[in-house]
Amino acid sequence: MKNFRYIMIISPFFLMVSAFLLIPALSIIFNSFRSEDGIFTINNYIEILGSTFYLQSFKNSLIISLESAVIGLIVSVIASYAIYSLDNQLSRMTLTITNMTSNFAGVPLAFAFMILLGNNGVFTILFKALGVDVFSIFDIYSNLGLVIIYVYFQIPLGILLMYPSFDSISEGYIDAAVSLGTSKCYFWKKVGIPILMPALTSTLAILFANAMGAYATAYALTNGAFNIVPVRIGALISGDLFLKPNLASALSVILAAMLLGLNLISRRGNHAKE
Amino acid sequence: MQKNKTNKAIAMGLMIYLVIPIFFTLIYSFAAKWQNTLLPEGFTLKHYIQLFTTARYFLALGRTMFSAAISIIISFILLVPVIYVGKLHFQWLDKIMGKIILLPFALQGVILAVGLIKIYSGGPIAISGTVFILIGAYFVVILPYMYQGIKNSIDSLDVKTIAEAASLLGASEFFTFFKVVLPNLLKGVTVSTLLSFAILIGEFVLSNILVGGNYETVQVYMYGTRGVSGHYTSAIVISYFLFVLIISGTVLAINKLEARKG
Repeated sequence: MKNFRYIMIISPFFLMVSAFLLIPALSIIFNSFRSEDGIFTINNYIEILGSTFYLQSFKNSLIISLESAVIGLIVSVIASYAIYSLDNQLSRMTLTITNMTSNFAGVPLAFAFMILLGNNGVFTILFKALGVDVFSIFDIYSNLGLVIIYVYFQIPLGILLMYPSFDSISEGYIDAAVSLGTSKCYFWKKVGIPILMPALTSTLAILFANAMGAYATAYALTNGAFNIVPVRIGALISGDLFLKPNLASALSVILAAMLLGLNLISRRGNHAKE
Repeated sequence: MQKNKTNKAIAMGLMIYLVIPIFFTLIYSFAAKWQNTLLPEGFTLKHYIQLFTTARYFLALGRTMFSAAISIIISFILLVPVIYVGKLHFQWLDKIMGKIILLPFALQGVILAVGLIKIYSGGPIAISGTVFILIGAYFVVILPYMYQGIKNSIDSLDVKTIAEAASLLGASEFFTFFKVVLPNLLKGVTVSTLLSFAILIGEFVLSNILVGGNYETVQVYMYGTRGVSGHYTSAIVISYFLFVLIISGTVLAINKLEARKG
């Protein structure tokens, strides 16, 4: 009788989770195996695998995400170490700024970079005055441009994830190693990096997933013209032309599987740390 | 000493890098005209005046705050009993919850939109394009953060001992929960609540696809102004960012306070 009461108390949560999370998840999987006329088929997957357009969107997504995640990770490891080694006041100030700018992403970030590096951007004009055509070096509306913008939101996230793990390498370790006659380089190779390894893989996986799922920045930058997976999915369910929700479901299943895999990798990294 | 200088330079470089886009957006929002010249051709407050006299902007901001607040409140009201009952009576719940809160990471943004739009565009519950579908989606987005915040808070309270002590003293479970556990919980979840709030204010893809112009949020409004004037848009970006700053500043201040207490 008492158990029944507890079940009553917790059931609204499961109702809400079913309605907005579980049923949508099942519906995406189910619909990915149906043609737009409702017939069971695996054609959606075949169409994706046979289409240079969709394959290119995966290729773009993977390359942009990997590049921005790796650059973001390298910068945040160096920055985290620098912040960690600094005196209190400056390190606190840097962390505060990192924390605050970590919320600057998506649509506003795309606009800010257009102001900086767009056709009439501040830096574009500045470089033009110096006799350099920015667009001949890189185009903000290209893959490389997107990587540069993504790196901006990867760095704060990377620092917030990496910084705490430097606590596990105390200066004492380094001093001990050096006074025992090893070089610093050897210390990092044999002790430092192995200690940081779980945090490094887990952060890389999170940054990678963060970029793979990102939609708003690329969408706002090019009005939805950019060929990456999230934007493709969005166009298939809310574009002006032809809507193909079941094809969108198949793309979603593939992307969701990748995101889930990355999330599990990051969790394993965290567990190894404990 | 040399090493310390390098670290200082790296930290300064990082700060400058992170601030540059915001700084120039700020300047741009005050510029009267800045097109082919190195420096702005004069400054003006006109974009901010335009912004603060635009009812549509405030309505959009209000909608964002309303839908975010409602989904956070719903999340809190529904999650607390699950975690509390799970801790005291149904230990198996913890495992299930651990699996459930993984799902929002897979069903990120546009993927969740695919699932929701298909179910709720027709059929018995056609709520697509209304605030209800947005609140449901937001509920999912913040689920992992709210869950972690409430769980940490309940774990730190040692509710088992509290419940035993209270029942020994003759208090009902109901009374104990509302008089002892809940007030302590509310203090503990401030940070995750504000974090969820900051996430939802920055949310674009779900509001754009699920409700769009039918229930225009501040992000959708911001996106819609891109063709109007770069200066006006940057004024929106700046005022929006100020708003987020206040929220994240509060989070930092609370964390600092907690750290000092602990």
